[in-house]
Amino acid sequence: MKSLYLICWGALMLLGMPIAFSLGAICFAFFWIDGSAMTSVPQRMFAALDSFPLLAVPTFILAGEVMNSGGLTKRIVDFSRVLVGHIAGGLAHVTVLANVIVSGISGSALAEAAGVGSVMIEAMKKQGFGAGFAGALNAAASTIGPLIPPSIPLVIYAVMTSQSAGKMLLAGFAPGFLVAIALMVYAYFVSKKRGYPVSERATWSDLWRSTRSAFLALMTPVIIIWGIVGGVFTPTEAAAATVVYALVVSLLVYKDMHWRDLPGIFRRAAKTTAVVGFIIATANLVSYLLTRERVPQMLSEALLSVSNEPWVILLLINVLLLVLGCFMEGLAIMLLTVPVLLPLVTQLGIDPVHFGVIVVMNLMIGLITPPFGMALFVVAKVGDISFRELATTIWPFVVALIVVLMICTYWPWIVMVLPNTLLGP
Amino acid sequence: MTPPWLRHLLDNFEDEVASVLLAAITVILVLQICTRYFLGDPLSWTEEVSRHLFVWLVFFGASGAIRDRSHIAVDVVNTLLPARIRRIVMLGSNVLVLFFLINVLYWGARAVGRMWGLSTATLEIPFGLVYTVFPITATLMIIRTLVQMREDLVTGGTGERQVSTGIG
Repeated sequence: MKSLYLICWGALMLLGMPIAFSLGAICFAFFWIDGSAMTSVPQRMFAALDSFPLLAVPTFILAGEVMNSGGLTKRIVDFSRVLVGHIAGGLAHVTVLANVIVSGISGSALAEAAGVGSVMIEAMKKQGFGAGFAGALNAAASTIGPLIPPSIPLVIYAVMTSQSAGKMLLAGFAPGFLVAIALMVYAYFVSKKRGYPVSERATWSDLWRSTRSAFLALMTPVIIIWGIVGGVFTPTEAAAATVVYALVVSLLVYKDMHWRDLPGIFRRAAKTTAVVGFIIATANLVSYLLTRERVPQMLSEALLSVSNEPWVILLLINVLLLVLGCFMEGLAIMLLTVPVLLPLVTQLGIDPVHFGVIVVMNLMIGLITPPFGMALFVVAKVGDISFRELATTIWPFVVALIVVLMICTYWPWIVMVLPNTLLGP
Repeated sequence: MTPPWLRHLLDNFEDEVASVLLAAITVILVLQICTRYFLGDPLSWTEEVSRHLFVWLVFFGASGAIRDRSHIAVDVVNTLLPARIRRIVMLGSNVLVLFFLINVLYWGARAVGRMWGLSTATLEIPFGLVYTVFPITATLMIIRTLVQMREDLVTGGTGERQVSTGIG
């Protein structure tokens, strides 16, 4: 009977009903048939959103919008080009490095895929890189965004599991760099083999000019990370400070943005916030239902009957999340599975912070796996590449990300060393 | 016959409200930072107000997102269906959306009544007032959904969906 609801919901979602509404409708249907009281439903939706740390989400989304519209992204790309454009693989490394730096400002992979992708894919195509390779690389590199702080999914995870948002954000650092290294290594060998062009080594004067031009943009990640690590800001405040800083830089210094652009920026950020927030609100109803129906207990019994070795359980969870990620939107997966899986995971002695990073890495891989990888859709749109082509060229990148996921899953030290040394265990 | 500004307002009312709320949240957060670090005397109300405005922002924005179809949905299967079946599927999905919204409206309105006696922690305004967001936005969303259903009937459900929203 209960699995029937799950099947119904899956069917509704696959038939194109918006995820937030299908979650809400299935809950009310359950309550109606079950005959249970629905008075607490508004409170549960309210409570899901009524959280100060969660306010980092709209502000980081806003920061990403400002960064893309205000010319910060463009300058960071130029700076990266001067730094690594001459290595074999040229613009491919530029893409990865630019994504790493932009990750320090933006907490969303899709914002990066749109921002960096719209500049880099065109440049790579013009220089003779294969369009499929360029698009797939940009999609894969955009997943660094939510790993290197700030990060929207890590903040949402911290809120829903009552972990320190600061610790969660720092835990994403090392995995983000590992992804960058993996992508650069792969791009290096592919580019050598296919003879992709290399840009000329930049002169000192180029380096000086581009550093000066990008300097204020490059300071943005420093403010965020210094603010959070130094305990000056909560992540929410750091996000707000970033917005103000990025606005001042783009309106008054770079002058790439006009005051009349502001309403559009706020409208776009508000729209994204609302879409994300509404899923958070209705998913909270479902996770309440799942808890009430003792699904976490049932699932952990089922998993523990397979094995009680943490490494096997983690492997099973990774497979589960990767498969779900192919068919479902990442945020909904996280909101529905984490409350179910976390009790089991903590029972096995796995740190919730470590687990959060694993979950988010799985979601990032979900963003680039066809047929529903959102980052692929974005890249296809901004780079004018066919989705079909991306769906074939993306696989080596998926494998590279899975390798990093495995390293981070089975070597917790690499995830935990930064948050533990900087903010205490 | 409708003046253009009124047309614009009718089309974008919730979006405008949501973006003003986002701007207000940003200003309030900046105010909080400034009063704490520069004046050493933080305002007491900033946290509560920004949290509640965020809830309002999400619900108003969600209504606007119905209008331009930017709610995240998996519509790959949907686009493969023949037009006639797709039309039925979209109608059915919107009927379920309405089922959800009518429930939110009803139970939300009851929550407003029940919560009226409670006060918020720092501003001490009735909690029920904050909860009016449920009946207000549920009504707006019902109207938006009905308009969209009519649109689907006319166009056969070919309205374009936005793809680039979402997190991750």
